[in-house]
Amino acid sequence: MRVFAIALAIASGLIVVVGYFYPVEPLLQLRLQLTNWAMILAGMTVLVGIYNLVAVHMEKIRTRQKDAIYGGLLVLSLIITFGMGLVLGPDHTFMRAMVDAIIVPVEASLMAILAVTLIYASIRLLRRRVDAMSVVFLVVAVIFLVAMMPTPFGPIPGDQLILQFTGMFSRGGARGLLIGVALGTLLTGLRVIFGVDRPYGGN
Amino acid sequence: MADIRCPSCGKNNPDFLTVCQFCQTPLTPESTLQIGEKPTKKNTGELENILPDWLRDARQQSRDLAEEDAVQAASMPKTQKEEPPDLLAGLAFQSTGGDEDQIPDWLSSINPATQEKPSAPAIPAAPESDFFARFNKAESAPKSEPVQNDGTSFMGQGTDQPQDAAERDELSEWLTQTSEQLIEPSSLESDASQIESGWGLNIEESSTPEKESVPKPEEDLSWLRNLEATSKQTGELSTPKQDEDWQSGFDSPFSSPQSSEPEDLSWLNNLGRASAPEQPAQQSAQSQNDLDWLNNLGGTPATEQPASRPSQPAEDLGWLNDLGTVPAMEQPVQKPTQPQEDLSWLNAFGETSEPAQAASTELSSDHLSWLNRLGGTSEPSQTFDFAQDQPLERPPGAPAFEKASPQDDLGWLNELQGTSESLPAEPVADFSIEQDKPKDVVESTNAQHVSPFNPRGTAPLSAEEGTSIPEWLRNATEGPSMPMGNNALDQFREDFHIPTAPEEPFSWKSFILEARQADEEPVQPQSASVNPFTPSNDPSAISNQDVESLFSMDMPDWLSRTEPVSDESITQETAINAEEGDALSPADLPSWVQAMRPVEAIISESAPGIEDQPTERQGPLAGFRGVIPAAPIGSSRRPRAVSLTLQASSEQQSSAAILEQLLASETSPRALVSSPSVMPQQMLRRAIAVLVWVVLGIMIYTRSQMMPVSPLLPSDARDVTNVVMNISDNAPVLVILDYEPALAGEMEAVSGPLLDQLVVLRHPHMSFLATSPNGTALVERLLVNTNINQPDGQGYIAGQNYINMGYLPGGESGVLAFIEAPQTAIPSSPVLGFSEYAAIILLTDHADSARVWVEQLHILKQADSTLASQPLLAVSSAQAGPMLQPYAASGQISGLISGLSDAVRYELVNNSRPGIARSYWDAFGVGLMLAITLIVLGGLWSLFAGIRSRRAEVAEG
Amino acid sequence: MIAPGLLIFAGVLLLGITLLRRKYPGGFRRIEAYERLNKSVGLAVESGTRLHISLGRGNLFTTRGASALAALAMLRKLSERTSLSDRPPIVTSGDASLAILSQDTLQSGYRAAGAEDQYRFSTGRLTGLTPFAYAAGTIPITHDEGVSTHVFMGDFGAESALLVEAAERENSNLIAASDNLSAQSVFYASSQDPLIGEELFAAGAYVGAGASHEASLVVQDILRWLIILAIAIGSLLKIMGAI
Repeated sequence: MRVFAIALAIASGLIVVVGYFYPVEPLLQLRLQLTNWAMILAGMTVLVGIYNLVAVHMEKIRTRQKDAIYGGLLVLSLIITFGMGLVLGPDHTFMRAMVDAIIVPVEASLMAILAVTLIYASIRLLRRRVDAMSVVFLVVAVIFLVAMMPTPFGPIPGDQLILQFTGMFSRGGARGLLIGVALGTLLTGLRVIFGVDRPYGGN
Repeated sequence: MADIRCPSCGKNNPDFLTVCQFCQTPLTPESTLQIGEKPTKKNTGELENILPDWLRDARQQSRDLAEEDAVQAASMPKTQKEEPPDLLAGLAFQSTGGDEDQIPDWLSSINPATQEKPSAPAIPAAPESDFFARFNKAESAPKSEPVQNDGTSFMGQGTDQPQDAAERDELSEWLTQTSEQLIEPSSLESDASQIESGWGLNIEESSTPEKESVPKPEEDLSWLRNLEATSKQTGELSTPKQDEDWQSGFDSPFSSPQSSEPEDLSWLNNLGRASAPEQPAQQSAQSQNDLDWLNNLGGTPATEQPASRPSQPAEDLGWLNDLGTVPAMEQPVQKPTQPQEDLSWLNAFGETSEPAQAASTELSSDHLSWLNRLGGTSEPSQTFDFAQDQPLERPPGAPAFEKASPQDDLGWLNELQGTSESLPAEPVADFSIEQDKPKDVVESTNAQHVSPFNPRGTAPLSAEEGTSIPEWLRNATEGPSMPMGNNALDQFREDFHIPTAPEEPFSWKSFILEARQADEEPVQPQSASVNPFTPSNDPSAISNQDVESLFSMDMPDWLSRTEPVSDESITQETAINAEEGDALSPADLPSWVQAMRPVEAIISESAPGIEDQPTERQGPLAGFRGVIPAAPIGSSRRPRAVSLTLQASSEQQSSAAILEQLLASETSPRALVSSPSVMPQQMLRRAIAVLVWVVLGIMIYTRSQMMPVSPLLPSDARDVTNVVMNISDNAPVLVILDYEPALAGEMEAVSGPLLDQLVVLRHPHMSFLATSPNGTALVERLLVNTNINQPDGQGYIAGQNYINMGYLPGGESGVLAFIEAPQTAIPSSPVLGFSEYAAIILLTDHADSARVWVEQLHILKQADSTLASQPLLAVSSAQAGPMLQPYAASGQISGLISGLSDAVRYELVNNSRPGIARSYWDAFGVGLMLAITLIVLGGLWSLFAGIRSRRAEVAEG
Repeated sequence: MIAPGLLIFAGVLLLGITLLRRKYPGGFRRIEAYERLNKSVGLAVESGTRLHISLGRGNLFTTRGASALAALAMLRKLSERTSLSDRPPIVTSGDASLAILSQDTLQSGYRAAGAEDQYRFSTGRLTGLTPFAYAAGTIPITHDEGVSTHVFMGDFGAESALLVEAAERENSNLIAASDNLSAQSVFYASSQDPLIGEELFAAGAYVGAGASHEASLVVQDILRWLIILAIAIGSLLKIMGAI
C-alpha cells in the first residue's frame, strides 16, 4: 500500500508537470482527470477536516477540559449551520443573515484587532530588538504610511515620489524574497515528486 | 535421668540415646544438623575401622608399595603410573584429616568432562545417570567395531606401557594378561547385538564410528582415556548394540554359578563383565593408565593370554581372572568360590552404570553397602533387582584369585570413574537405553528426576596438599576428577528416595538367573518419568528409618560436604524442592544430608551475587564462585537484615547534600518575578485599542468627508476603465471572489466602483465564483452592499442577471480545471468554454491566489489565441496590490485597482458610485495619522525605555 | 524551454547533491532561530511543557502548499523528538488537507520513536478554514495547553500577528517563518529571531530531516546565483540596448 501510494504520487506529479509544459492531448486528458480527482479530494478533505474539528472539541467536552463549553457551542453552531444550509440552501435569507451577522463581523473584528496588534508590535519593536535593520524597518513603514495618508489639506507634497521611491525598494526586496520562496517551492515539489519527501504514508 | 526431647517427633528419649527411639532422629546436636546450620567436618578416618579386612589389607599393601611405586611414579607421567589406584581413595583421604577442601578429585571433578559423541543419535535426552552409568555405557559400546587391538584399549592399555613385572603388582599383571586374552574375539561378539547387557545399555549413545579424541582437560584424565580406550578397544563406542542387558554380562563371564560368600569379591565380576562380551575396539594411543589390572577388569582385550600369574597369599583374587576371560564364552572359567566378606555392596561399582538406583541392596550401618548408592543409583532407568534370592554364582576356579596381589588396593575405582570420560556427557542415548531395558528393571525403577547436582571440574590439588596425603591416595588426587552423575548425586538430596537394598547378601545366582531371564525376555522400555517420591512397591524398599539408621553413622566429610552445583542445578533443585518438598520431613534427614541442602534458597534474599562471592581455590569446588555462600549456613533461616544505611564518604555526602539542595530548589515554589512591564503592556495595548476604535468610530459615525480625494487615477486604474468600456453589452463576465470575510469590508469598498461602473455601462451577465468556502455567502453581500441586486439599485436578479456558481475547490488544480472546462469543474457554469467570458474580474486579497489565476490564464492565452484578447481585471486589497503590480506592468493583468486609495479615486471618476469607498476615506486618513503617531511616539518611548533598562542592567552588573 | 530546462536541471542537481551529501555531510550557516528551535524542543520536553507547531493554512493544491510540505518535514522530526514527552506536541493547521497530513506525519513520528500508542488524533487539529477563524481557533491553545514553545511554519497572512501576540502574552518561545510577505513582515516585527524569505524551506535541513533537505538548500543557492547572474546580464543587456 505504501509503495502504491508513493508510485501514485510520483506518477501524478510527473503527469501534471509534463502536461503543463507539453500540452499534448493524452497528457491533457490525463491531467484533467487528475485535477478533477484532486478537486473531489479537496472537497472531501474539507469534510474530513470538519470532522476532525468536531472530534477534537467533542473530546474536549468528554474529558471536561478547560473552556469545554465553548467547544460545545462550536459543535452546536456547526450542526445548526450545516443543517440549515442543507435544508434552506446557501442563498437563503437566513444563511445570508448568518454570514452578515456573525461571520463577517467576527472576522472584521479580528481584523480590527490586527490593526491594533500591528501598531503595538511596531511600538514594541525597538524595545525588543534595537538594531539598524529594525530602525530602518520602522522608519520605512512610517514614511510609507505618511505618503499614503490623506490629509484634510490634500495629499502631502511629493507623495507619489515617496511611494515610487519606497515602492522601488520594497517591491524589489519583495521580488527577491518571492524568488527565494519560489526556489524553495520548486525544490520542495521536486522532493515530493522524486519520492524523497513523503508526507503521506509515514515518512 | 534427664530426657532428651526429639526435635522431630517431640517425644522424650533417654539421655543415653543418640537416636530417637520413636522416629530415629538423631538427638544429639552433633549428629543432627539443622537446615541452615554449617556442617561440621567429619573425620572419616574412623571409617577405617569398619572397612572390611581385605580392604584394610589392601590399603596397607598400597602403603607398603607406596615407596616402591614412588620411584616409578616420579619417573613416569602421571598418566602412566603403574601404581595401583586405591579403591577407597576418597575415604582414606578424608580419614587423614587433611584439609577440609581437599576432597578427592574423582568426586570433586564432577564435571562434564565427558565428551558428547557427535555421532550419538539425537534422541531426547533422558536423565543422565551418574558417571558409573556412563562407565557402563562406554563399556557396552558397539561391538561391530573392527578389532584393531593396538594394545591401547582400556584394559589393555597397559600393554603399551613398559611392562616391568618387578614393579607391577600381581593383580595388575594378571589383569593385563586377562585383558590380552580378551583381545581375542569371543564367541559372544557375534551375538553381541542380541545380548542384553546392562553394561551395554548405553551402547548406542556411545557408538561413534570415528575415534574422537577427548578434549584434554587440565587435569590428569588418563583414567578417562583408559576408559575410552577400553571402550574403543571393545568396540563399544563404535557400533550400536541393541537390546543389551547388563544381565548378559553375568551370563557370559560366569558360566558356572558360584555361591556367594560374605566376603567374596564377586561383585567385581560386574566390573570385569562390563565389556567382557565386547569386541575389542580400536583404541587411541593415549591409554597410559597404570591401572592395568583394571584394564583386565574390563576384560575386553587379550583373551589369548590366559592369566597365569602366581597368586598372592593375601587374598585369593583369582576370581578376577574370570574377568579377563569373561568374553571368552568358549573358555569357561572355572573359579573356586572364595569365602570372603560380603562385599556385595560393592556390586554397585559393578553395576555402576545403570541399575543402581533401584537396586534393592540392603543397607545397614555395619557394612558399606551404602556405597552402592554412590555408583549404583545413578541411573534410575537402569536398575536391576538385587533382591533375587538366587545368589549369583561366581565363576569358580578363576586363576586370577591366585594371582590376587596384596597390592590390589581399591584404586581401581579411579578407573571405574575414569571410564566416563570417554562417554558422552549428555545422556542422549538414555532414551534408547531405557527402551532396551528389561521389564523388571523398569518396574524396579522408582525414581527419576532431574539431578540438581551438576558435575563440576575442580582444580588439581596443590603440591603441598599432594604431599600431605598418603601415597595410596595420591593416585586419586593426581588422577583426573571423576564426574559424579546427576543421579548419583541425587542421593544427597533430601528428597531422594533411597533405593531398596536386598534383604540378603548379594547373590550371584540372582544375577545369573536374571541374566538368563533377560536373555529370554525382550526388553521392555521403561517409563520415562517416575516420581522419585512415589513409594516403591518393592517390599524390600527401605524406609526412612532405615535410611536414617544407615546414615546415622558418621559420614565422611567429603560426603557431608555440599555439592558444588551450578546455577542451573540450583534452579532445578529449588524447583524440585518447592514442588515436592512436602513429601519429606526435614527432621527425618540425617545431618549430613541436611547439610547438603542448598543454602542458596535460604540466603538468596540477602546473599550477594555470584560475582561478589569468593572463588573456591581448593577441593572439589575449586574454580567455582559462589557455590558456598559466604554467610554461615546455619546462622538463621531468615536472611540477615541488611542495614539500609548508606556507607558513603564525607565527600559523597557533601555531594549528595548539594544535589538535594538543587532538587529542592527546583521543586520549591519560586517567587514569581513579575515583569514590571506586564501591566504597562496590557495597559498600552488596551489604550491603543480604545484610542483607535474611538477615533475611527467617531469618524465613521459623523460620516465626515473632510478629506479631499485626488481625481488623478493611477495608470493601472485607468486601464480598468478602458477595459470596461471595451466589454460588449450583456456579455458574460466572470467575477471571482478570492477573499475572506475579514477583508470583505475593504474588498467591497474597493470593488464596488468597478462593478457599479460595469453594471451601469454594460449590464453584463455576471457569474460569481468563489475560491473560498465562505466566498459563496459573500457574493450576495457584495451585491447588496454595491446595490447591484437591490431594487433601488441596478436591480440584478439572481439566475437572470447573475449566477452564483459557488465554491471552486482544489486551489490551483481547481483553477486549472475550471479554465480548461468550466462546466466540468462547475456544472452550474453558464458557459461551456472559458473563452466565452468577455472579461475576468478577480477580487482578491491574497497575491498568491491572484497569481494562480494570472499564470493559468496567461498559459491558456498562449495556447488558445481566442483568449488572447480576454481581459483580466484585478481588484486587490492594499496588502496584495504591491505584489500584483508587476503583473499589471507586464500586461498579464489588464487593469488593477489596489486598495482604498485607488478605489476612492475610481469611485470619484465613476460619479461617486456607490460611495462606499468615500465613506471610509476620512476614517482611513485619520486612522493612518493615528497609527503613525502611535508608532513614532511609541517607538521612541520604547527606544529610550530600552536604553534605560539596559543601562540599569549594566549598572546592576 | 527555459522552464522545463530549469526544472530538469534542478532535479538532477537535487539528486546528485543528495547522494553527495549522504557521503560528505556539510555544514550550514548559523541561523539563530533554528538553533533556538532545537534548544526549545529539548527544554519543552524536559520541562514537561508542550510544543505547539502551527502549519498555517497553505493549501496543498496551491503553490502555498510547498511551505506546508516543508513544515511537515520539520514536524516529522520534531514529533519524533518530542513524542515521548509527558505532554506531546500539538499541531494546528488552517487547511483540511494539511490537517490530515499533519496527523499522518505526527503518527509516523510517534511510530519512529517507538511510541505509536502514545499518539492521539486530537493532537493534530484543524482550527479553522479561514485565516482569522484559524487564528481564533489557535489562540486558545497558546494559553490552555501549557505550551512553552510555538513554532509557526507555513503559509500565514496578516492574521499571524494575532498568533504572535497571543504567544507573546504567554511569554512563550516563538520561532516563526512564512512564505507570505505580509506574515514575514509581521514576524519580523513580533518575533525575536525572524526567518525571512526562503529560510522557511531550510527548516528540514536544520532539524536533521535528511540529506535531501540539505541538498535542496545547496541547489537553491546554485539556482539563486544563476538567477542573479541572469538578472544582472539581462539588465546590462537592457541598458546596452541589446534586448
